[in-house]
Amino acid sequence: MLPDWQHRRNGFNHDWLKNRFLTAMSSFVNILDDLVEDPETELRFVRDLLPQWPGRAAEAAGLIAAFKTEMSPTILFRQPPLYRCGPATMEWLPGLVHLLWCQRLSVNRMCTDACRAIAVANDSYEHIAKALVECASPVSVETLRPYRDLFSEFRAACEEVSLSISSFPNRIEVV
Amino acid sequence: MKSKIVAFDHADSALAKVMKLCGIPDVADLHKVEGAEIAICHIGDNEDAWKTIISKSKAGSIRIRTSSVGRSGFAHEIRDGVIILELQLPHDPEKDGGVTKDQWNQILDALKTEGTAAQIVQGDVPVSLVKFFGRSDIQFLLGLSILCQGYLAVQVGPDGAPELLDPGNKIVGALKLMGWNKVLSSEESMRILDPRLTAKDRADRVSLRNDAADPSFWDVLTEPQEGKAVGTVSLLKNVWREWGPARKLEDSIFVEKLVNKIETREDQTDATLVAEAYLELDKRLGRTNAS
Repeated sequence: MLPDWQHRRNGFNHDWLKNRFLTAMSSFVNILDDLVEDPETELRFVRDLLPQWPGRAAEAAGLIAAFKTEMSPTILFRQPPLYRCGPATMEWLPGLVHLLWCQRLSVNRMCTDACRAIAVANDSYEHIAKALVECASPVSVETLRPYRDLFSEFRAACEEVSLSISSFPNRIEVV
Repeated sequence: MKSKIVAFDHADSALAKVMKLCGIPDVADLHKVEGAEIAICHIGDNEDAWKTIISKSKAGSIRIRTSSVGRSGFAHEIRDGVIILELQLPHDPEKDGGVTKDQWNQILDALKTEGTAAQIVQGDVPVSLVKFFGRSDIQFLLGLSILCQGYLAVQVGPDGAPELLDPGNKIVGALKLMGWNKVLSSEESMRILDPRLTAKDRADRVSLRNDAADPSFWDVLTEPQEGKAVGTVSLLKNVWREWGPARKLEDSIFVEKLVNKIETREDQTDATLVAEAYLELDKRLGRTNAS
């Protein structure tokens, strides 16, 4: 049984960030580098996918914020068999189990690192957004070529986001 | 969309009452279950009646087996094309954790969607139904490990030192593996932990120790059976099933001893045994942990 948090993480990190966004961004950087010619996809990335970043970054931040509550072993106290624990036990055991889990997995550090990676990617995105405003219109591969390094930096930052989110456990850990 | 839904139980039962509130007819005749696309069945341990219900049901129909105490530990399955779901929680809304009228409506609405029930059998339980049909493949191992951790944590003082004899340092070893000492020194410990756990006065932990030593603390792992006292004989079977066929006797000696004590409802006074069992569970869960 896959917890809902895992489904959401897979949707963001695997399906969107790695397989759509980063793949398309790499193709776009290759086009800027004149390594490939692909007129079909030349500007599709800039027009369709790139503007999705702010919303998707917020989704990633939400995932990280939800991790502590949705993947903590305390949720096992809402399922069989531990939901049968008596009220006296419920007063002290779930909190204890939660803190042990946070400690063993360095949950706070994991969340802080992932938030930092998103913040770096957001900064990088802002640089690109500003460049697109300043860029001579109409936007084309030629007019965007001077900003190639900004795209490359943004790609590296997004790869860090993907890595940091991948490092979260994919199951509810109790030991 | 599934439409014909019936409940099977005697007329004055808790299931019949809550079904009536949901507008679901209750039938007491096995043959009236046959044509239903979804049937909610409470048949106690009458396995013959259950076999009859399944054999007379059409392929693709859904049969939800319920109990007044919940049927955790029983696996969902598809038998001769009939989808059998085991309701994990008590069907009686009056019981602690029992399924309420609104929750029943939620369950039935979800199951009317084609494919949902089969998805549950395959272990892909929709989020809205996890509480009712979600099963972990290793729920008893996880539960046992968690109870061991709680038991061991209340045996030590705020400095992390055991407040009882610890021959062979087994308790210290288990606590270290748990990360308890680091928790005690963390900033969050005062905010999140029950204050009795970190109290300087040993006497403050007495109520926690009594709770953890009492058979009722561990009884939550046993399968309640209707008409029988809590504390039945199936825990060891469940634990070994979850442990898997590769279990070696020498890797699970203390778990077996601990489970035997749980099943015979003895007070858990042997912290060393709990520590040894935890260490064995840690090895097992560390290898193949799952959600």
